[in-house]
Amino acid sequence: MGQANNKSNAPTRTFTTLVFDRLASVKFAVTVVVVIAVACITGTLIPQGTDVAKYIRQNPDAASRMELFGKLGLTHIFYSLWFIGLLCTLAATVSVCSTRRFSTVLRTSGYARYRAFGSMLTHISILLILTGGVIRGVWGEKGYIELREGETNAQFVTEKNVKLLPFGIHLAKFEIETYDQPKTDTDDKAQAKQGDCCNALLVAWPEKNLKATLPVKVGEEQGFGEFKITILKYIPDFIVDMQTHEITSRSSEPRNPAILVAVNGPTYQNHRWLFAKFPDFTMHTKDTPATGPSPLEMIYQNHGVVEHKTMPTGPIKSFKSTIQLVEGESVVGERTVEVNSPFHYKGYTFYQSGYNPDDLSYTSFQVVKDRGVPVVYTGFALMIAGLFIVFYLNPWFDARGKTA
Amino acid sequence: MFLSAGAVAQTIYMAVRWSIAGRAPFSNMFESMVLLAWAVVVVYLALRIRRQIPVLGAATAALAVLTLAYASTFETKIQPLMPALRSNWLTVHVFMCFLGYGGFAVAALASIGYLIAARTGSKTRPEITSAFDAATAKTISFGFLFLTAGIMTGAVWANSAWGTYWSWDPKETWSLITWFIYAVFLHCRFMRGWKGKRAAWISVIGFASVIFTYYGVNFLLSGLHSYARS
Repeated sequence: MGQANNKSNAPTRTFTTLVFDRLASVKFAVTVVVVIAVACITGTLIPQGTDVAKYIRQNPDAASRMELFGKLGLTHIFYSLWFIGLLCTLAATVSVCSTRRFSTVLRTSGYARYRAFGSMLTHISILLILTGGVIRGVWGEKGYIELREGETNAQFVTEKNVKLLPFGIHLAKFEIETYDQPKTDTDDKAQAKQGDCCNALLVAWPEKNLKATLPVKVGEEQGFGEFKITILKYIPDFIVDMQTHEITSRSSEPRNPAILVAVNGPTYQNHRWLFAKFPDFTMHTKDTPATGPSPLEMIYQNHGVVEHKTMPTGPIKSFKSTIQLVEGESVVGERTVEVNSPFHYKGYTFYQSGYNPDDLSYTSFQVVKDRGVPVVYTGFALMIAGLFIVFYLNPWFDARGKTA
Repeated sequence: MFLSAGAVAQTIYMAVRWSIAGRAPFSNMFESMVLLAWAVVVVYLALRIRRQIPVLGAATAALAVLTLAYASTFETKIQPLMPALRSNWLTVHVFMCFLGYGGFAVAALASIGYLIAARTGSKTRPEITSAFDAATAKTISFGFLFLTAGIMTGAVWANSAWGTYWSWDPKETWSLITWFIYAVFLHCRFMRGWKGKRAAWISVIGFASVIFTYYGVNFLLSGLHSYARS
């Protein structure tokens, strides 16, 4: 019985040993690396993914060639199964090499054992980096979210579908900074292009017989008697979303222009929406109810000037957004996002990714959820440390040993 | 001596340009080529190989001068940075990569020196060929460490700017190809004991890949690094 078992296991063991021996050989590892390098070269010479359509538009004669490449799977090399298979083979050969080396090292003692540490670290780091890539590929999420100033959204669009965030993102402000025009407070606050004649806030205080025409400058505090008046927001085409009860803009055209005005005085404070087309109608915000009857009369005038931020002149230095995190009905935090300075919240990272030069109240963010990043970064650190040990620390100890 | 004086002068030039621009001068073709010339000389000087092979110093100086001459054909004006390039990670990434490139450039010169010495029959002076061979291994080890650090800091920068540390952009991919070539060199050298012509040829092929990664990709292939053409 025992002999029969041994006989049936013998070919399996031989095959396994053969595979392990092959994976552990430097020759095989180098061959795999060379094949991956050739695949990489091919991937840079043949347009990949979304670049294919662009390439065909620019080179119509190449359409049939690109179709052939597509059929051969050469237009999505880096995400193809065979390329992922090659990376897995690399991972397997690195794993087997490391395991065998580790078991050999364990049989040694003293300095020889420590000498192998750098090489081990380097090879383990490759596995960590590949593991991080797998975590991203399998569990990662990546998409885009577009927002207009004043809008809130809790969905982002991926390549395949729309996904829901566990919180909402409200774009409070988007701004572009250029090199030629140093940013000033006035620039920062003057968000709308308008003239006093066509777009203004008429304020009257009947009790004191005071009247004024204030320019509509979003964010700028203006004095009127003992009151401070600030226009907090401008919406060109005001609408309340019936499902979310969010105030939003249907378009960038001033079809239903409205402004949110904050009035602050010693005896009266209030936030209210004023509508250019409905001067008799005002809407108080829920969170800031009026502190008594208003002593001020206000009329918002907008005579059809298309209000939009103008594209600043000069090279773009930076663009950034002030966004608020909304959970349920309340704002739980406010962050600034700019290029090279993303923000992280509940496992998601938001990257400032773009803007529309024709409508600067719009901006877009890349939304990424990738738990593999810390694993990859650990791999990076270990690889640098491992290489440093192999190339510099080990030779230094070797030299010290010789001189000792 | 002259090489050291040149390196000091170039260091001062880059420091002044950094101070005027208010950022590291590593962001366009001119600035990066000046950095490459500097890196080639500094790596050669720092690795203390000049005493063993004096002729390598002349070759290094010639390469640095040629690089500077070619750099002068590009726009030399200080230009403002686009938003994505305004990052400290970029500074570290470029600096690391170019120290690596400097190492590989000196390695390629040493390998070419080896191949010439081997062809012209320097068998009577084997110490020259073995010095070239040793210099190749030493500079490639240095270059590999810094190229690795450069690729990794680049990945960290890409992740903070674009939300992905690796996107198979042509520049990234060619950096990886270069990394693979030198990884093969190191494995063949230290695991299989490859020396001489075979090692020298891998080094030369590796440096051809460095040139394509640095220069060819900018002009022949499009991608995230296309800003580097200017």
